[in-house]
Amino acid sequence: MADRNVEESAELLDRARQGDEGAFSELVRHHQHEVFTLALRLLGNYELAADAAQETFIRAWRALPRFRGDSALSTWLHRITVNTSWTLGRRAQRHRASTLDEALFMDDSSAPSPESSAEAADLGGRLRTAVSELPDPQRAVVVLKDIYGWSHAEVAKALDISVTAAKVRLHRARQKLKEKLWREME
Amino acid sequence: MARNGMTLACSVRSHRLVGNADFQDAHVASCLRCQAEAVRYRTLLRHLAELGAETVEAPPAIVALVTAGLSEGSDVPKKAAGREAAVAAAGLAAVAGAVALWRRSLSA
Ligand SMILES: [Zn+2]
Repeated sequence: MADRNVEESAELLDRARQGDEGAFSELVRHHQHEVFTLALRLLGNYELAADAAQETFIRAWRALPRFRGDSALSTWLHRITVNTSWTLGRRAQRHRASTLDEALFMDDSSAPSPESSAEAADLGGRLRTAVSELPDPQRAVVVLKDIYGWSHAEVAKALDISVTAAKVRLHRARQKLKEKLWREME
Repeated sequence: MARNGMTLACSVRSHRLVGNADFQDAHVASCLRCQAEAVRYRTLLRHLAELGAETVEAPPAIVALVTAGLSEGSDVPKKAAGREAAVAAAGLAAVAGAVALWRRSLSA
């Protein structure tokens, strides 16, 4: 069964590379949840993550002729997701900064929603919230290294930073998460 | 001696434990405070790794939105033309409606 799935995916990929939009849509259907989840972890915002997932697949479609299959399709898609999320996150940050005055008169979207307050009752829920509240550069490192199990070198390459910088960010992020989770429990 | 019974030795170990929750030496082996710190980091890392196994369902409009966006520009030679292009245009209008509904549901 697993072999059959691999064969079907390889065939879809082949057809998509030759410009078959239907085959590519099928690949999007297969990978949409994992791409969206990674974007959501990186951005900590549902709507922004949806935009990032969409943009990721469009970029993937455009870059597909250059995909040589050296890595698995999902690994390649994850790298594009990281790049896209980073770009969209920075753009959103600039937008937030430029509309700060406006935001003062609006609902604070970063305030915990009723759902997230209820979710925060368990450690997993509180951890999700704590991760989403990390500064963007620290969140990116903790998501890729500790949540997705990438190596320091892979994280550094994806975020275009040095391995030392990746390690320093991870160190700070873990300290913050630990302090936040256990201070709240005390 | 610092706050909460934390000594300089504990502080040095705490720093080591952030990078390696399994770090062990004679001090950690005999210090309850450092052992508790190690347990916290191990718990944190285990829960973070568990998050990696979770999948959050993507919004339903994503496949349709991407499919509609494919025709807008690509290095890939396109197959859709003529009748298929007309179908795609009709699909795009439907997608726009779906997106509007989806965004409304998000902001509701
Ligand atoms: Zn100690």
